[in-house]
Amino acid sequence: MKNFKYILIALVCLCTLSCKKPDDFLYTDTIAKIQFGPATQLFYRPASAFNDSLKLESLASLNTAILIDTVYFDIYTMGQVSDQDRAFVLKQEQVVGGYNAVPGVHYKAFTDADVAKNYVIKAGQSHSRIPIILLRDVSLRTNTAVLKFNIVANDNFQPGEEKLIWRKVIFTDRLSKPNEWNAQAVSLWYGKYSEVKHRLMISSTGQLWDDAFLILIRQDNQLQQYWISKVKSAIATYNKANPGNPLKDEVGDLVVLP
Amino acid sequence: MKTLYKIALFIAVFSVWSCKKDRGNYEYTDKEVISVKGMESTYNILAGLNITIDPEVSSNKEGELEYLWGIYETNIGGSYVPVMDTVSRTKKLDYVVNRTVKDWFLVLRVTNKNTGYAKYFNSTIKVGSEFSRGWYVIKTEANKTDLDLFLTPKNITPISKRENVFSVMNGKKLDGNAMILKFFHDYKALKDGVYSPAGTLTRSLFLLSDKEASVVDISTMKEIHDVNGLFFEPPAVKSPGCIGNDILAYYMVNNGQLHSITFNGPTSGIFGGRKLRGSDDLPYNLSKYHLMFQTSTTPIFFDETSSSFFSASDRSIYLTAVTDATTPPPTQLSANNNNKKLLYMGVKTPAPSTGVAIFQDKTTPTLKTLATITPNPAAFKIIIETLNPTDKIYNGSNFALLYMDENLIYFSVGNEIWSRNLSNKFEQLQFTVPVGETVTFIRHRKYAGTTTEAPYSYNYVMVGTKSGDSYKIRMFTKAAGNLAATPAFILEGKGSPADAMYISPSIVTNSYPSTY
Repeated sequence: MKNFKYILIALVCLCTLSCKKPDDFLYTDTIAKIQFGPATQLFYRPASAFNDSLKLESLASLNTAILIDTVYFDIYTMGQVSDQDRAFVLKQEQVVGGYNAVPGVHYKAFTDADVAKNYVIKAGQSHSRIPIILLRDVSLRTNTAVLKFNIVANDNFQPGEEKLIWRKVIFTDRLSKPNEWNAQAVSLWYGKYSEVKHRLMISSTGQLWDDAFLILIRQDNQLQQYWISKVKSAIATYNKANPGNPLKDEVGDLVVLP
Repeated sequence: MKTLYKIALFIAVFSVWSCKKDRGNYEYTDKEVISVKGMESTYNILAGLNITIDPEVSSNKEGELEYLWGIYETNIGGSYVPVMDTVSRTKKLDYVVNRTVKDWFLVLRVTNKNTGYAKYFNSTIKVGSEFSRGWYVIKTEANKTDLDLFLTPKNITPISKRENVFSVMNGKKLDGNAMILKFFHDYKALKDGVYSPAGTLTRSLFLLSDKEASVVDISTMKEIHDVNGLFFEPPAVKSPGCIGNDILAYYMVNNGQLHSITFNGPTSGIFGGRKLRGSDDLPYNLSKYHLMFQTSTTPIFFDETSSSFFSASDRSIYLTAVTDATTPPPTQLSANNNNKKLLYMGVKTPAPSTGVAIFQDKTTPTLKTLATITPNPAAFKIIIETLNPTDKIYNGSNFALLYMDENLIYFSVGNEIWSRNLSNKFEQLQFTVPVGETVTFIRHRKYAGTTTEAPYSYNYVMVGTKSGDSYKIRMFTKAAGNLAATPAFILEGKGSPADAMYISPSIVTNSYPSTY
């Protein structure tokens, strides 16, 4: 029992040592801070503080002629607003084990003059929506790239809260199965999901066949039937144009709809 | 012993709850009976007019009676629950029917204030407009299609006419030559942007010409969709063939391609995607002649390209191939690749489903056959009879079957109207159209009305002719399949008629078969 007392006293002492004074964001700081945040309409909702940390972007649903895509993030300053434009700096962080986006190949480098000019908090402002320009490189047809970037200090800003000074974009030109392409949709309307099928559906109809579109056409039996008819006709056309070599998906199965 | 006392105490305590008051009804007097006289089962009235009902109400019990009249709509789709509006609280109903043109339920609730007993009495109010009752004639004038309406305020015989009601109400005529009419009481038009069945069903009339189509709300004659609006993309070729329905869906052929609308589930009343002939999307070109049965789920179409019959379903985007019947007696003509051209096909009876067709051989055009069809897609049976060139029907045109009546087919040869008995091949001249007139169509329609609709019952073989820029449609009654010597009445107007149809608030989708 006596030993227990000593152990307890030692633990209490250790607890006092485990405390660390945080780096305070003081009103007296002379340099402003900057950090990411949710969309402005969610700014005052604590539960949304970490929204948009990660954005997933599919380039596959874009028209084939479109070679760039833009993803936006909201960024906020802390401290006094300025009567001058204030640039801030972003820097890519390599993600261990990820297919890291390559500047100039998969995205426009943050130092590219065309892009860097957007990384500015305008005079009198404390918020900006910053664009990340994604490039539709052919390698994205077979890979999913990750772009993680941080705010780094410069003459205008110090990074803000540690948890809010980074953002990540995961993007690919590969298609992914919409949530609405569910078991019922597989059985009744679209059949087994495959990227080849999905891409054909997009190219033959000009529609994205994403969740919003699938929900829309499901409201009207005939509307859904109309689009499915178009896809089936496109598959037939392809197969007729390629005798003996019908359209197959990425795992070698024939592309068919029920 | 002490234990026994305890048990006895428990039983005594619980026994308190075991008593139940007898609430049985031991009153043996007669039940109250409230009866109403002078309230019809159906009332036909034009929208905006006054309806007066002063029923005799009696009860076998003493007490002051209290009245409530209410009205709510019928012919609604889906899960929409109609709301009853109270329109009067007096015994005598004196009510301006300011309701849309359709059927409504009129409810009278009579309550004995003394006993609290109440009873409901129902009637149907068929609210009409000037467009909701009469003979409609689809006709061609100068390669344009329009509608004439013959008004029938008292009985099936018209007393006046309104010309070109389609163009008067819509400011345009349809391009092309008139073909056929089809009425639906349950067409699911998109209503206020809401998909049916959330919206109400619309009593609608389809007009088909060989270059356009239109569907109008029969209560207003206003167009709901033109031919472009009937499909999700304007058809590249506007060439309607037919429109009709089976028990599950509407079907429309345009440019030889089949489209459908389901009766079930949400829809905007627009026809869905073109049906494909197999997963290879082989070319096909459906004839306008078809077999659609109101009691069946397997409509039958004939592909002129492959000389093959196909069935279809709204559930599938593919045409369904049919299989020849092999059980004795087997089919006498294959339903697939039979090298025939379809000169005519129509519905004879809905139950059992039978049709009659006239074929012409593609290789030997002089070879014509008359066929009786049992259109079971799994055992398709065609019993044929080779026509002799001396048979009148061999050179016939304007064919018309007697639907669910005598086993006869009518047709014209020149200005003569003939019948042929399908059982014994006997042909008989029925009528000779006056010189100068050209037969444009023959069609058999009938309708059996009851109660207030009884004066509108009819069973006519209609013979349409044109002469110059005028038309006549002679409405013949028949006896044992033979036409009366003179028509019951004649519809006359300008243009060339293609079809005539009687529409009233009691006519529904299946009042007439979907057939040429």
